[in-house]
Amino acid sequence: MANKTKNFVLYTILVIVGAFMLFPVLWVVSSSFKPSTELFSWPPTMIPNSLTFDHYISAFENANFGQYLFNTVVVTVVATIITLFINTMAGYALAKYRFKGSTLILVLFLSTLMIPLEALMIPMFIVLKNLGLYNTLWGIIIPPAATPTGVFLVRQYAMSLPDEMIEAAKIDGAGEWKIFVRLIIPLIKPILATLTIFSIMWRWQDYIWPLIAISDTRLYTLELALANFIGEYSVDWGPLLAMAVLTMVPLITVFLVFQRFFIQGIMMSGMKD
Amino acid sequence: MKLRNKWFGALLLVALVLSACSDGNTDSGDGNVEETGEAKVTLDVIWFSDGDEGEVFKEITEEYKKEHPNVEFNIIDTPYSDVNDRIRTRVSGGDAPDLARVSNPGMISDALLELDDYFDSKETFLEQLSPSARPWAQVGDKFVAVPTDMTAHGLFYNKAYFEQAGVEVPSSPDDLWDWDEFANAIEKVKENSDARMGLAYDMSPSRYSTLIYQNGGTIFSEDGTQLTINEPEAVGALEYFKELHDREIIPKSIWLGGENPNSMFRSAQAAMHLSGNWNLQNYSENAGFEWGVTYLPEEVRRSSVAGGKQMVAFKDSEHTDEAAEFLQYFISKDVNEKYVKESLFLSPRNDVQDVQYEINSEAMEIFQNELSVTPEATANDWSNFEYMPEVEKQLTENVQKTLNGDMSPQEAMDDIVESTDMGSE
Repeated sequence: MANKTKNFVLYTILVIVGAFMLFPVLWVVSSSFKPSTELFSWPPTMIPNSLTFDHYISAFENANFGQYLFNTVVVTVVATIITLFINTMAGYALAKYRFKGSTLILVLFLSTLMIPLEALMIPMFIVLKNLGLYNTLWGIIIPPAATPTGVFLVRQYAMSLPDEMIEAAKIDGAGEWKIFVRLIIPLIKPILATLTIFSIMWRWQDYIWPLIAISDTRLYTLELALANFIGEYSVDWGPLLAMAVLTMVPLITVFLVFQRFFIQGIMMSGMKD
Repeated sequence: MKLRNKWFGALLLVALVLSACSDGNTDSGDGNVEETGEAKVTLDVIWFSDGDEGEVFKEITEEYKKEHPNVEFNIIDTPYSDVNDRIRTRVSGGDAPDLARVSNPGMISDALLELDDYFDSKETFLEQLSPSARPWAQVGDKFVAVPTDMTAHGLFYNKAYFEQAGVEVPSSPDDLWDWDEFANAIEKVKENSDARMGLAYDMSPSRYSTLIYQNGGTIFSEDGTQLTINEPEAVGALEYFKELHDREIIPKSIWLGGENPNSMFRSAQAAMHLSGNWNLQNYSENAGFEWGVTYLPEEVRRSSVAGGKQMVAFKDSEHTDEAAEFLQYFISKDVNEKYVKESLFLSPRNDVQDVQYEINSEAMEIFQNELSVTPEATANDWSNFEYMPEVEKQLTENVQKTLNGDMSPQEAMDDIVESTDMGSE
């Protein structure tokens, strides 16, 4: 009985907090269907008095949403593949291979986290330009691909794998590459799923770097296009909201797909300790 | 075998995406030679928009291309707040753009192309401009920017609320409110109509400074080397501004809470909005009620504050000649007239003062009138690129502290003078 009351109170609180968190999202979605004249009406209405798809139509017709979506998807997918590839190998190497200076390398990796992008912007721009990557999608894919955060995540996870297992595989005659592909990767899947979600989020929402690295409107990503609705004095709310909703949908989908890996990750790490 | 298939699939996917990536950027180069033998030039233009001016600019570049088939434009739309970042990175990174639309050439003056050699002479160019536009063309005495469009402050009002309360707004420059009448009129409307708030007053040091000028004051001395913001006229402006807040004519939530005055007026909550002509387009499209524009009040003198945008070229750009040539075209009489007319701006040119706007023409006439009576001191102050950015920041903070009751108006203004290093001591 006491337990039921406790649950009831708990769920009530959870529902209230949940509604609180969800409200801004719902508000954006509902507002994106309101005609411009109703956007700021007082008292505010949650459900639009008159539905309109004008903002969505103008997002596709005037703002070239399709092109930006394509660019963003390309950047996100390619960058995530590269990120996973590099970070997994680096993280595993730093966790399981003993060599001189491995700690130093890790510290160097992590120390790059201490320097904000703003300070690195101009040197990075110069490197990018001299490599001929300026104003190409590669220019926003490659520089942020090897994230120190990713290397660190993978390393910490791989550390928890027992050395004996790797040695046993070696005794069975497996080569380094085979151990990595057949043994390690399946075991660290949960952290790879986490890293995938992070990487997709980072690249999808990246703003400052694409702003610097891209100067051709046809190569703009969604985030760049969204920001262009904001002028000095005024914000073009209608199309901005519609495009924001369209930008959110793929991210939410990805999260829903990878959700079970998240839960799996928590369960696995729970059993290990 | 199974494994190999998987890897093959992944590789194929990567290859596909890679080829898609490189498709997107094969045709952005310049420097191709046309059949005529004239070298093709692509001008990189960093641009920002508030309304339709981006579209109008695009049309103008299309026209220009007909006369100059060797010139292409790459218009780089940029959010206003990131324009300077983008310019700076490109200039420092050795890839200066060719042209940019800016609101403050002083921030990037060392990167700009001096225009003396490209225009007949600096003096003849400046003479074509209205007095309030002139200071924006120069940083120090270097001619580095071409003023393209001007803005002025004015008053938007909700017609229904003024009718309900039986209050009339000034209908001609001969019959203006003074400050007391202005405050009383709004108070009356607020109390006798459905308006929830009186005057929405933009949280902006520029809009605030309108009061300083109306009260006969200035921010800097005429030569720009001394602050005059703590003299009685400017302090009086702050006293009046505080009174408007204390009487709840201006809702405190704007200056002290960061609420958006634009949406207050647009949602028919506020009876009036002190802002500028850039809102015309927004309200025409998005306000679902009858509104009008009227004259600012006159205290010691009449004054609005001129804002403006300029176009600049860069000395490190590879196409300085072409960029400067386009600047001359863009500011020429007919082109400028088309540009300001279709974007609902005021013109910086003396000979483009009687523009026949297709929409909001009455309102634009009022803004034009406000700009014409605005003393040159306002432009002098606001184009003081060396000290204004610092003063501007402190002005907002200290006005807020005064409205909060943390400082008296005199203390707030003295504090700005004391903490600004004008290099005189």
